[in-house]
Amino acid sequence: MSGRGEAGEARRRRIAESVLRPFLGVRDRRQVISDLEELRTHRLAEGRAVAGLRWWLDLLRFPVALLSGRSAVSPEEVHGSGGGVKGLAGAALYDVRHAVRRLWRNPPYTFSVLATLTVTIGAATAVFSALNGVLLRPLPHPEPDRLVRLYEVDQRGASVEDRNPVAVANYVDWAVMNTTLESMAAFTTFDGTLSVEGVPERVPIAQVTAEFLELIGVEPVLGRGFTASEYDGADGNAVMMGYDYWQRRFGGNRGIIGEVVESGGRQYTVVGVLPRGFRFLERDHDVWLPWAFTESARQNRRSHYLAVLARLSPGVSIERAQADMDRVVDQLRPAHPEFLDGWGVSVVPLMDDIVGSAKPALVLLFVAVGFVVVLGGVNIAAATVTRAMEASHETDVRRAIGATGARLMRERVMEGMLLAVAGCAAGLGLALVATRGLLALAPDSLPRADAIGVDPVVLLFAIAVSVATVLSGTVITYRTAIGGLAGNLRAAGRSVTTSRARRRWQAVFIGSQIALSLTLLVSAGLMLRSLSSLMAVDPGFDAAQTVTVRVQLPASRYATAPTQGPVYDALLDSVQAVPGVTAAGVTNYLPMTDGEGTWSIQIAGQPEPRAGEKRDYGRHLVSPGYFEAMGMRILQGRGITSEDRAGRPLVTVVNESLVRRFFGPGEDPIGQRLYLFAQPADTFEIVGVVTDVHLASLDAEPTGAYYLPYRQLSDGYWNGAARLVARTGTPAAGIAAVVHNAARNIDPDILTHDVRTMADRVAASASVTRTRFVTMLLGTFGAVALALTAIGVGGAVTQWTRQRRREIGIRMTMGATPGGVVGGLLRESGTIVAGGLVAGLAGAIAFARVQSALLFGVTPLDARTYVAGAVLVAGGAMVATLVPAARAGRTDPAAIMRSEQ
Amino acid sequence: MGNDVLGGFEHQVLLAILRLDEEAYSVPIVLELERRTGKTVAASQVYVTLRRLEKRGLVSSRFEPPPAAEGGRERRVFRLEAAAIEVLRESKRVFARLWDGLPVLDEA
Repeated sequence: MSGRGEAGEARRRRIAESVLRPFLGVRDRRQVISDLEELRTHRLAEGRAVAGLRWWLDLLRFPVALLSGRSAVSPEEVHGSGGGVKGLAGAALYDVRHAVRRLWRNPPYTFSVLATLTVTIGAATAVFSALNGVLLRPLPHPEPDRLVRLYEVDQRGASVEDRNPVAVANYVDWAVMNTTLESMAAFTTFDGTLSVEGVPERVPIAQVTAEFLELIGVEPVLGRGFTASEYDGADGNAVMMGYDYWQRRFGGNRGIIGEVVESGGRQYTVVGVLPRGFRFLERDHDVWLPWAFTESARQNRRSHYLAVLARLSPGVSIERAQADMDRVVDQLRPAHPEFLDGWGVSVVPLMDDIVGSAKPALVLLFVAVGFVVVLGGVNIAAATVTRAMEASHETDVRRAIGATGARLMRERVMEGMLLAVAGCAAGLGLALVATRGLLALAPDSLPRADAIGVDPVVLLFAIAVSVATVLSGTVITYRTAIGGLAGNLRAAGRSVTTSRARRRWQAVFIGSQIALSLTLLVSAGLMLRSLSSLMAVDPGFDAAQTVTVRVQLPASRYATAPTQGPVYDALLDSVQAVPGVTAAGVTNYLPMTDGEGTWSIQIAGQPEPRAGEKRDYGRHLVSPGYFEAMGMRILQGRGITSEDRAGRPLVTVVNESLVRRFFGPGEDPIGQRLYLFAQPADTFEIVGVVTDVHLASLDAEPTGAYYLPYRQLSDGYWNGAARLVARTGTPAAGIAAVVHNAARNIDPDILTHDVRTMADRVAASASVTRTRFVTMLLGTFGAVALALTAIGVGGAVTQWTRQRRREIGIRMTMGATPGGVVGGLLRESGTIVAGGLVAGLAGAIAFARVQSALLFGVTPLDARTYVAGAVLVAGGAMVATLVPAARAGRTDPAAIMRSEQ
Repeated sequence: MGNDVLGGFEHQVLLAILRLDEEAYSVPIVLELERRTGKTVAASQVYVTLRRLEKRGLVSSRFEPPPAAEGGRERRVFRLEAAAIEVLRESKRVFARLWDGLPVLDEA
């Protein structure tokens, strides 16, 4: 009894000592501790529990009372200097100094934790910045949640996601008949040429209907908006400027209102300037034009070319608006079955519309970075526990001389906080660099890239990550410092074999690290396979040694093919005269660069199309030499020659997909005639078949297209703009100079720009850049994960060998060979690694499912990738095991036995 | 002295010291206050109050070595200074004058 009592008193004194130490000097502390003990004895009469409770209450009230400022402790009473509060600050400073010293004394631990924190926080924060900027930050418009896009959808098509522009007649009807939209506007965006004082420039242009500016919630900062008569075009042509363009081109001159500019041969009067920072669809549009529809356009349900924006009425959900629009289309359908059968409408939030395509990649990367964070946390926790166990002797000694668990805990927390602060700072630094790198690498197609940056939300995220990471380590340390684990561990240090509890912990640590790394590596591997599959896709043209230049004729003077033709002919002659140039041609739609305008077509003699049947295919206008310059193969018949010009029989060359679409297997397309719905009077004889070309991206299937000799058409290139393509051995710049000089000689107003090789265009195309971007990031995460895992495994094995020196020594004395010792350790880590691999394979399969939207040419369950990943992880773990194991095998048993005595 | 105003608890602590005489160190003071007031008293509160009173020159303290017998401990014993006696006297006079002529409020 008395023995127990004495032990209890000693424990209480230790606790009180550590609680009071920051606040009281030695003599006062001793007094107070004795007071508390004496009071407790007096209170035992009221029962042991009450006395104990009162003891705790009295003790804990001391810091509060001393800190609350009522203390009149003389300065020399606390640590020989400072009063209560100062004493606390002094104690905190003491703790910090002590923690720094402890960390300094243990460079491997400190360095590994800091490096882990820096890498995890850096990577996580950079990816979170992207995610936050693109997906989480609201659009820069008033009440952006109410903004939606409306599309026509082909309900018979395989994909319901298919979004099509809207026909004007449908747009007009929707606007009148809906009950859930506050307003609806149509717009179109394109690049056009604007001439100011005779100097032409390519600028992005937005053309909008009367409702647009109010709907999006923007008012001009200078001048006024368009009037009703300007929309109708009855009152001359008006134009508004974007703020940046106004600053750049007109130096912010407020006298610009009323000035006249020229575009496409028409005169426009500047009426207003839009506010700074106003962007739409993530783009600065330099020039804004009013748009209204002619009476005939308002009847047109056949041509689909409107982009439609709407604002939901207050309180209306997307679902309700969708239901309302479905009702509208259902009501319209009986009157226009030929256009509306099989067609519906889709209401899409503007935000989804803008970021939709980037979402899967960003979410995937975010999950991946989450894995890295967990891995980092596990590593830090493992390192911290290892360290706590290694320091168990020191802990024993300190506890024996009176340090309490709380005191030790405070030290650990202080260490953790120091590491968290340092790691967070370093991680943020890395994130700043990484975010910049991310933006440089990010595909041009990444929407809202300008919204990416390290902002307060991102900062909070970084702090949360570092606290979470360090906390995971500290919580486990808490168990070691305070809980029974410490005793366990100390016992283990002396016993021949290591304790079961610790082995379980380690197995969990290592196993989960192996699993996470394998998941990330498989995921990165699948992306790598996708990238190589993409690069292996035959684009349908030969990108090597092909240079392209955009040529822009002043539209006012070169509006039609008869005026454009001689200019392009002359340019092509100049280029073909360059030594090394084997072919040259022009086109309106360059693959991997331009979109494609589609027109409905029909083959003469074939039955009329069924309602809603897809008939729209790409209408390409090309010159002779274009197929040769692009390296497109003629599969049947002939290409387009210089003989195919105005006045000669109309001809066309179609691609393979179009042949498959309109002709049976045995049918010969050559000699058949094709006509456009819009111009049924002109029929084009099919004279050849060319290879399919991937127009927009390598991962999308090519669709039907037909090529018309541009000199046979009266309308020529729209706005006079075309792409010149040359096949050559000379560098791109040389060709560009030739084109530029030749154009100068013909007409100084001709613009030549956007000089790039076809190979560059393929490398910069959306599917390739996106896949490369995701591959690089996942690859980096995978490498980081593998490194962290190797560190984790290596650390654990080092520790096994250190703690089992005695066991190893005995076994070697008894005749075990070094090889046997190493083999035993390998078997041991191998068992855990194998368990981790199984879990990792399961994780990778689940992850690959999420990833499948991003994969190309590889199945999510590609066995080769999984095997390669497993081999890599297992190999890394084995190497990490071998190094410390080999060292253990080399130990001198006699030395071990001596040191243990 | 300037700071004549005595807090309620300071008042009680001074009276307890007066009552305990030579035995006036922290633990008996706490117990005495608890016994007389019927409320629990925190040792820390007594501790800071004693330091404050000492700083104000109302009490003084000395360390008494541990009694040789029964393994005792060093004690910090407090006693009232003349100023404290004066302050207590004055407060008693003031209260007596304030109560003078008032009906007694003792519990029924």
